[in-house]
Amino acid sequence: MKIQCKNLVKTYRQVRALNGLTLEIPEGAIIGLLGKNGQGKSTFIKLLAGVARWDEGELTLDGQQPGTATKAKVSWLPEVCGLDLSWSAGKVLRFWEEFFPDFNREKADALMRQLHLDPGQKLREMSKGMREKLQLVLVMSRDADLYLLDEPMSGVDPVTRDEILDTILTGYRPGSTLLLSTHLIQDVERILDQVIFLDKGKAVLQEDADALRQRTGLSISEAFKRSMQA
Amino acid sequence: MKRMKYELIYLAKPLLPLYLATLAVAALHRLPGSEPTGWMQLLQGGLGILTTILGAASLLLTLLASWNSFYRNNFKPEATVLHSLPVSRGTLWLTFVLPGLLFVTLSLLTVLAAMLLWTPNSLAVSLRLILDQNPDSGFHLIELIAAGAWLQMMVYWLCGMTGMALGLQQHGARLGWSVLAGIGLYLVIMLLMVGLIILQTGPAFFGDESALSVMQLQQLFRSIAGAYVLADLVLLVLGQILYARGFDLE
Repeated sequence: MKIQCKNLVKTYRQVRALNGLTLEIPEGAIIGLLGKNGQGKSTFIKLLAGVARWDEGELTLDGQQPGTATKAKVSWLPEVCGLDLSWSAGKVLRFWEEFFPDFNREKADALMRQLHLDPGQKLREMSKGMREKLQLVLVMSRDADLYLLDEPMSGVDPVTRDEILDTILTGYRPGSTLLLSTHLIQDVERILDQVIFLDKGKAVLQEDADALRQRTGLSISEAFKRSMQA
Repeated sequence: MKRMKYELIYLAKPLLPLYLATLAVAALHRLPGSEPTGWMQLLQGGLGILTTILGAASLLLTLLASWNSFYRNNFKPEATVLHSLPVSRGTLWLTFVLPGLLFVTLSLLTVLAAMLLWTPNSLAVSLRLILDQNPDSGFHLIELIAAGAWLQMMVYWLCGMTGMALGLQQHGARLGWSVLAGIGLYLVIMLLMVGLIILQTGPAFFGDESALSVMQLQQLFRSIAGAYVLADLVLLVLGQILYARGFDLE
């Protein structure tokens, strides 16, 4: 799914979360949306997910504005867990299967086994890391055109982070676009095809990950730090 | 509309047992007999109080449960699940409104049925007093009072729902804005109702309503019912428009 945005502005009361963001994101790549806290990453992802409205500018997904129609093709992992804690993991899977026609139940069951998650376990009995993994299973089990992962590894231990990254790679559907926002750049850079650096609501860099490493001689994480300091 | 199933289950789980308990306690009230003495009289009195409490709880908790479901699914993290579904906001609004409508109606029917079970004799006496004045119009008046009670409950409930739809348009302090908006809507409607009553009957109504005949009361209740229908429709449509317009998930 191709993403195009031009001069995108989004203001929350007095705070300009996006300040004229212009990007063109091609399809078929894993893209890291990198930036410090509060630079507009989550806001941009919410606009793409169709759960927030922009104030100025243009935003299209394969030529369509984000909305009900695009939600059928976009799989969004929000920063917070909104699942009903009284439900079991199995019930959540059935809910997703009911509402998303592209939900692949076999893939979900395989990912659940890979991550050692029990479908019979209630969400309130799970740790934060387990709930993060379950949410990821739900998102990556859809055969979507666009995956939006908002801080998928925040608040989890390093071992779980690796499991999450492996799940992303296992679940990723070749040909689709995966946009991953994070400030834990060191942990994710190994899976990224392309990177976008966001600063104060604007894109300050958009480049192929390998090309960036070759050009700067630095890791993505180091290149990001230098870019923010400049 | 698949989502409506979940809303119905969410409301049914706590409310249906409450309605059944209300009816059961109201029915038990008749066990001690029509003129109990001693302990049976105490028991009947206690059951009467319990019926009243359960009846009030049925009405109040229905409103609260419906509002809470809307609040949880639009203001709290659960909103991320609801709003990621490929369902239009207009349809999502209906998945809250239609079950809410059903349960508000059921709660009122429960209270009416409980009253019939609890005090059949005194209720029959009151109804006969109205009917004896003029049987045809008296019966119509009773229908209008019942319809008016239902429409009034709808106004309470819809003020809350539409208030929240208004509150969602704000950034920050959404719950506070929702409460203010809901109370504001209710006050506007009540002021319009008072104005309507004064126009129809003059200020004398507020002094001594028994001075009005059954026909006059019928006319008044017809106007009030009509105004409530209009208010309910306006609230419903306003809520739908605001919600469908969209808002930012926080």
